[in-house]
Amino acid sequence: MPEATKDIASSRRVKRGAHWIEWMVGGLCTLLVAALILWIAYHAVINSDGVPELDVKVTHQQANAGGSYTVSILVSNKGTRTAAAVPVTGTLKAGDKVIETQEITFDYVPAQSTATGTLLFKADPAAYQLDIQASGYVDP
Amino acid sequence: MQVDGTAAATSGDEATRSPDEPAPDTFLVGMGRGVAGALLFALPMQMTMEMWELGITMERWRLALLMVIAIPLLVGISHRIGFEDTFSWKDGARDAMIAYGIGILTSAVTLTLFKLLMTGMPAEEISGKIAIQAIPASIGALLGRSQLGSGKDDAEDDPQAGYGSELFMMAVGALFLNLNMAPTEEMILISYKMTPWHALATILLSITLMHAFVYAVSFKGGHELSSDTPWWHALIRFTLPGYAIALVISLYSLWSFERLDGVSFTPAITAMIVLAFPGAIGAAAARLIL
Repeated sequence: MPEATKDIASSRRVKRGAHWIEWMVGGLCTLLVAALILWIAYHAVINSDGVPELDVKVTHQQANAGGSYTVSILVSNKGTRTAAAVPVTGTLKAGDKVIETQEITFDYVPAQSTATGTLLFKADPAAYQLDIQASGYVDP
Repeated sequence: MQVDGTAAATSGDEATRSPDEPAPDTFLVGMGRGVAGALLFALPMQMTMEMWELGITMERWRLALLMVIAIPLLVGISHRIGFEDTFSWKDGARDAMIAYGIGILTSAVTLTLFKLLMTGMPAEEISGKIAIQAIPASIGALLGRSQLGSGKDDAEDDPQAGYGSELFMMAVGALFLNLNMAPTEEMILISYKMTPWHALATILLSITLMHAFVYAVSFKGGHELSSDTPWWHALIRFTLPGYAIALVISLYSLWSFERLDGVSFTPAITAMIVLAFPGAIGAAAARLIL
């Protein structure tokens, strides 16, 4: 019994003579981790002091059955920092007169990424001038 | 008197039973351990708001994929460490499915208890909420069945602790912690707060801790390096593959829980690094916990 235990214990040791598959897997994983470190380090050097750059686009407009109007928007952040709690305000204007204002808040718009959402208007946005903008952000 | 009669009946019963077939009371004890394990491991998730929401909002095919992936995983765990009597793949598959069943039932009961499941809800919502909880619960049930009893140390007498099996157990350990954490908003929030320098430090600390955990410190069940083996042998053959596994599992968990939708490459990579930190600890500690 002590001998058997000893055998198992020694088989659990990392021995010098390992199968070539172990070295191949190990080598590939080392390359993967090294690539990851280099990628992050590269970004650390080029843009550790970036800011969010927010841009809002209308992707789709449609009238709903209930009489409301849907305006789908895409918020993109071209900057290298994430913006949190981004309020996006849509205003319908006829000349200087504000007809309707709707606002939604995006929890996060990650760096160099996009987020989508929808504003719901009671008036038809096609009949007025539609003004959409991100009015600020919080640093996460 | 009653007790004596029962004891006699049981022993008589056992005499006619083939040795590899457990007695009914053993089976019931196993089920009890399974339920205990499921609760122990899955309650943190069952009491997490994001997990309830994911049950409703998660894309159905991602949920289905997760549920299908869980099956070979459970069979693998069961075969590797499972119930004491598991020797063959057939037994492994049986125990895995029993654990899955325990996971589904306990999740249904606890979620009903928390008034998260009600009769008026659409079937899709009820099934989704149960399904997403059933995966961690079933892993817990399987681990509970093997670990919460008998005091038998599987690591000591496991016949096939080969290289693949080592990596598989690291994957289970990583997945286990990741399932706990990936649904929460904090994972992406941390990654957004971090600068690339923080991410870099996280990678290095993850690898260092992992290496220290299992291969330098001689924990029970960990590798003992023989004195003539250079330290970097174990680093390349075990620690770095373990970390790579933790990274891949983090990425899958985040994608599965829809944390990467619309996110570009670098922020996704940072979130993966954040989640791989607990994943690496889980992978390294797998030999201790499991």
